Amino acid sequence: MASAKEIQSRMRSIQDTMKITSAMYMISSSKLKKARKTLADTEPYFYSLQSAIGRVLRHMEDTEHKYFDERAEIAPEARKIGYIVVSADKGLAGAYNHNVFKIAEDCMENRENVQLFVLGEVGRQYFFKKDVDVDTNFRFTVQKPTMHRARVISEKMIAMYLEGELDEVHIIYTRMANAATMVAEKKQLLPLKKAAFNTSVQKLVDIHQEEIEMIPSAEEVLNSIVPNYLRGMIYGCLVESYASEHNSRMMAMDAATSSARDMLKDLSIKYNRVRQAAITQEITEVISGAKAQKKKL
Amino acid sequence: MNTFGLNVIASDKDFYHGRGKSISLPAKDGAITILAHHADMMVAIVPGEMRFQAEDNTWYTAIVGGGFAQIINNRVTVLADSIEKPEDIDLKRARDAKERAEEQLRQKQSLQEYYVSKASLARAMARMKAARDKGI
Repeated sequence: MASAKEIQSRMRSIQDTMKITSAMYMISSSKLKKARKTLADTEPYFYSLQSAIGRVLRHMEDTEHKYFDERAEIAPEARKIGYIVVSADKGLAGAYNHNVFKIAEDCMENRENVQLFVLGEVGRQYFFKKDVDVDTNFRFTVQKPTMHRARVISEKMIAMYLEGELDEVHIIYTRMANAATMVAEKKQLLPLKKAAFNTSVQKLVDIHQEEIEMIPSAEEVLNSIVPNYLRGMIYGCLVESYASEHNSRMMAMDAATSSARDMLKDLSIKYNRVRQAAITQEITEVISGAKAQKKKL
Repeated sequence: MNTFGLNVIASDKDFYHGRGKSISLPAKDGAITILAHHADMMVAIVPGEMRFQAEDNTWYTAIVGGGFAQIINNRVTVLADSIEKPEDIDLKRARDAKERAEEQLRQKQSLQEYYVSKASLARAMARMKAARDKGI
């Protein structure tokens, strides 16, 4: 059995770690609260945007537009695909990072022409070690997502798509399904899928469709809406991921704190036993020593 | 005077929600004013100043970044990535942004970088103009 002193120093180190984990829990929960608020603030914008694109498409179903061009002439195996991978800047968040990496690796399997755009330090390190084609100029943090960052990212993606450096752009991020579950997901950003917006078309077939004038032109309106939409989409994904990250960290830290508490409980029982044993032993020694002395007399 | 339903939504907040009498928006080829019962349409908005009159006749001014507006069934929805009141504008920040954009425009850039710098220059100019009009 370990000595009382050893147990004590072990307990002290657990207590110190517990202080850190419970502090991290508190930090994450306050950040999560903030992230939830930004998420709620962007939702009306995001949904209106989505319905607006749907409406434009409904009114010009046969429009050819560069953002909707599937580039079907390119063979599936020759397509250049870009993935934006949203990971965290640090670990200690349970399976949060690993779930995202797993999806990314599944996507990369048996494929060439895949390029990764990794957000977050953990992901960057992970894919760097694996010798994956990662854009090294793509350096953004995932802390406190801002519209500005989303704008820079979306502009880069749009430029690469239009110049033909990429034929498809996807984003891999983590969505908060509800307060307790986070789901890592892949979503296609470019080319935009008409089907994704067309869910309500069938219902509206019989209804009179109002004429909508596009100013200056339908093309111009789409040119303005689509980058906005992508920006909003990326921003939304960043905020979702940020909230999920802190939710996972909160849960991980909560688990760590409670298991530290369990360990402390076990150790303090053990410590008391060891101490009691030491005292008993000392008493026995004293008594037997005294007895030995008595016999001598 | 007739009114129309008006929603002004920025990416980070609901700017205005209610009824309006008139709204002027900065469009690609000049400002465009919409009154009640306007024909259905969609307009692409460029960075600039937007003004609207609410139901109680008060005028609001706001600086919009890029976005668009849709007018459907006498309901106007303005969606832009940023919408700010003139008093919220940080003149110093706008001036810095303008200088940065001009600096970048002077350098050799790719076409895409050129558009990005141009757009941020336009945003900064719109903000500065609004702040000047307010007399800050």
